[in-house]
Amino acid sequence: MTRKTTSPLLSVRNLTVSFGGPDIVDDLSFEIGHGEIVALVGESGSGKSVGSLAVMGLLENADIRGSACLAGAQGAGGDTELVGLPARQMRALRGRRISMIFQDPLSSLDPLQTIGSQIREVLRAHTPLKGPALRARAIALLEQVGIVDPEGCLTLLPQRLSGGMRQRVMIALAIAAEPDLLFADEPTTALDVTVQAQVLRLLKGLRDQTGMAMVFITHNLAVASAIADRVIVLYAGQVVEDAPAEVFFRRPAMPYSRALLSAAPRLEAVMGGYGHLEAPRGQVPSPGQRGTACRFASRCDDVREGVCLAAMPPLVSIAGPGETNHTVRCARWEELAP
Amino acid sequence: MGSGNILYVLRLGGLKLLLLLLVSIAGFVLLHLAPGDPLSQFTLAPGMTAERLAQIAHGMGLDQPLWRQYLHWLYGIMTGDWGRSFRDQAPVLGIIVSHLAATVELGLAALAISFTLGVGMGLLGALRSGRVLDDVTSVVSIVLFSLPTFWLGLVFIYVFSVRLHWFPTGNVSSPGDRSVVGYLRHLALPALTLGLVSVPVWSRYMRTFAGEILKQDQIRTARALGLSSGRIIVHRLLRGALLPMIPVAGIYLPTLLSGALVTETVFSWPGIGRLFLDSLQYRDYPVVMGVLMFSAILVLLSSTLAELVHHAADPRLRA
Repeated sequence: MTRKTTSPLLSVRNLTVSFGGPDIVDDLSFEIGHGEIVALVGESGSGKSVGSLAVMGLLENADIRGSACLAGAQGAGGDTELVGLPARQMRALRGRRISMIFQDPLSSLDPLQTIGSQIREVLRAHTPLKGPALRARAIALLEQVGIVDPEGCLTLLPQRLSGGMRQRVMIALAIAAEPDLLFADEPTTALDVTVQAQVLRLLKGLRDQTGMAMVFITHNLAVASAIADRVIVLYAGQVVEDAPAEVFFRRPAMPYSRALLSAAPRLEAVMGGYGHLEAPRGQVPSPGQRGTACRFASRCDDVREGVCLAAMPPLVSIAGPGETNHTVRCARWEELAP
Repeated sequence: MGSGNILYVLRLGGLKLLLLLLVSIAGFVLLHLAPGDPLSQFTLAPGMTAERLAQIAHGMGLDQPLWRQYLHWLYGIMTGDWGRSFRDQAPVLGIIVSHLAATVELGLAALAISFTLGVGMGLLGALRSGRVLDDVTSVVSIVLFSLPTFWLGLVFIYVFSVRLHWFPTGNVSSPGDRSVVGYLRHLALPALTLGLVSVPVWSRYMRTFAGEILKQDQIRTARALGLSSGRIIVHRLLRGALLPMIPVAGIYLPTLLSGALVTETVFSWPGIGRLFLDSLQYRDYPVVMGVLMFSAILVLLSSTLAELVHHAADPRLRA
């Protein structure tokens, strides 16, 4: 249910992040539409988390270049450039317009404050609510994220909740001020599979209800396929493929995407004793050793010396006329197309 | 409260009583093993005879075997009679109480200084982790930790009293001056001495505890939710780091007493510490043992109190 709009909600252009050394995130460009769920997929070290934290202004001691432009709130025009935004203004946006949840919901919550106190803390920071209205809003939020006994939950400390409940509370905190964009950094990775499915359903339901866009960071393609409208594959700090989910899972264009898909365990693979489960050989090149050619070349089965090792292939659009945008970074995509 | 809990409390209480008993035995034996004799103060008195001396020794109970002296003393302690000073026959408990105020005041002033500076430095170090300010606070802590208390006290006296004449060299008051300002001026140097040498205890623990919290995801999450830095520092960092400081305080607070021993001597501060050293010089056994037991009880009470406060202050332990 991608809502097509001409101007995206978030537009990241040539985002480059380094911590005084080589670039961790390198010339990253992508767009997030209003109400769209985009899965940011990649192995550890691909830059998906660092890129998101850079957009959120949560990186310290980082050198961030490029642009991340957040469209103005509905009815209030004026885009905001997030890169280089003064800390005070950035803080005013965080929680209110863009919010973020993380992998480990236990360590993300304050162990010393009750759930109610933590929700009120966020609500006070972003809304004028007071007294009974504040409490009512806190209860409504917990209801919204599917907590069965919201009033009882208010008085509990995080340690009394299960992992799934904690992540639900975390989501309630993140959406308390009704942000337009939610970064979800591996939010289901630490959870049981059944709970994972519940949380995914909850997040998707919240998007459908509120129209909030979401950047869903994951290394798990099964999770991505369950929630995403669009998939962006990152490799060694770059976007290597950006495609609508239904296209991506049917016919991925980049060899790396295909390798990722065939490495994902599916039921048939498990029944067959992981026999035809293929992992891309080798490792992601570290930030200092990425070279100037295609960064996947050293691990690619379809590598061709003159073509792939000559220069960095650009990100090219391969969508046919009338199709949704689909870009890929591969010099041989046409030859390799199935 | 289940029977298990009662058993636990009994065991804990029994253990602490046993500890006190051991401290008293060790103190008593060591004291009597030490060279010198309480009678020596009388031997040079004019007209002193051996008979008269034996009479005095008998009056003090010093002619009895050591174990009988100990049992006699122990019985007294248990029945609330801490004995009388060999020096002036005043009741030991009364002497201790009369010296207590000075030590408590000095201790509190030193605590205020060391706690404020220590917590502040630890917090700064953690917030500026790996940067210059972190190194500076670390070096200052190590230097303060390495300074001998008596040396620092003497340096302060030399600089601020002898050279600059800002503060008096010692004692609680100058003759004829009973004003609060006068008292505070007397308190300043000893409190600063004792306070500064105690800074590293707080700052190193605070640096560690705050550093641990800063590493937790909850700080990043709080920022992601748009909470202000001030709120995060006070509400999350300070609160979370001060909580584990309570048990540390329970262990550390009594060591103010041992610090006071030196500080009070250097600054002629009439507190428990100086009382202890003076009494030791006179071989005033009842007073020395009294102060020893009083300190031991204080140590045990302090750690127990800290446990209780910690229990009450940490919501995770209440739930």
